[in-house]
Amino acid sequence: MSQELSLKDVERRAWLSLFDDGLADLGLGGLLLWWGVISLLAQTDLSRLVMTTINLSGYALLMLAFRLAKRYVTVPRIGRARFSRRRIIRVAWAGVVAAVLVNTTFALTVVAIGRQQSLLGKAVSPFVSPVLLGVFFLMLFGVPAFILDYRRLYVIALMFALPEVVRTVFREFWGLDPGAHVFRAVAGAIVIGMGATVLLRFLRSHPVPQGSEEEMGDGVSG
Amino acid sequence: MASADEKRNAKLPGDVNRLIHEPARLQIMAVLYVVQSADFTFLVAQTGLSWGNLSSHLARLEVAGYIEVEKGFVKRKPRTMLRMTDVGREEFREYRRSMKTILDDLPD
Repeated sequence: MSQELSLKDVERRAWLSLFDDGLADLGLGGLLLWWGVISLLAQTDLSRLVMTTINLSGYALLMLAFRLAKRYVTVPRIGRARFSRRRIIRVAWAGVVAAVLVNTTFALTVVAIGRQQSLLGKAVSPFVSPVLLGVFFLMLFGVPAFILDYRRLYVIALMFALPEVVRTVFREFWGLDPGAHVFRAVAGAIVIGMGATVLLRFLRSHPVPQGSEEEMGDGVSG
Repeated sequence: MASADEKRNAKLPGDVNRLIHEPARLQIMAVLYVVQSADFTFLVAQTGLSWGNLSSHLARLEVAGYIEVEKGFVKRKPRTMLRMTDVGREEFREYRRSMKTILDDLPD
């Protein structure tokens, strides 16, 4: 049994090495930070077209930076691997489950808020909508985190879930509202800090291996 | 608990597949067992072996028919992937069974 467990451990280690670089954390932290910037820009007089263009450019830049970093930072250090059908099915399931949950939760959130507003009017707690949004983010990232064994994603889920709730707490209890952008930026900075720490540790522990595939290929396949 | 038949058929420690039993090759086989295929860099990162060391162990495993090398091109760049053959997979399972039987029968 212990051998089965250790093989599982080998597989888990190999699988998790794909997330060891902290780039996903940096990307998601960047996304949160970008949402903060967007909510700040939304307070200006920029036209809708300009806002949309800036918004989409930010996402495109984030994606590009992520792909380039994967290609030039991660792959030279940890190489490439194709995983078993079981793992791939798990990944596919993570996508399907997350998509279903996202859509269902979103629909339920909208319906719940609509019902609360129409039935109770001004008596609706100001926490309802932020908490529902928080639950939505917890499920959006929490389910894939569980399925993919990617534990830092739980922290990221919390960071996505908390800004609106914390903002509401500040507003309701202390009468302070510095704006959504501040809370999103702080949460984004925390995730980016976590990702940067993981990336630095990854760079230190995974130097680019000395040698080349050509040398290896000659020795192996003749 | 192993049955009487299993105990009679159990391999002695000397019957363990020595090609796989060597620690570095055991690491390589374990990694290749859990992935479909991997490149050299991935194996270096996972096993902690040097490139030269890895190369010599891979050569022995390839000669035994336990692994095979797939050479291909992705976007006009050469990419070499290694994967465990069906023979290698079966030998690795057999190795696991042998080791389990041997270690399970050790007195406390």
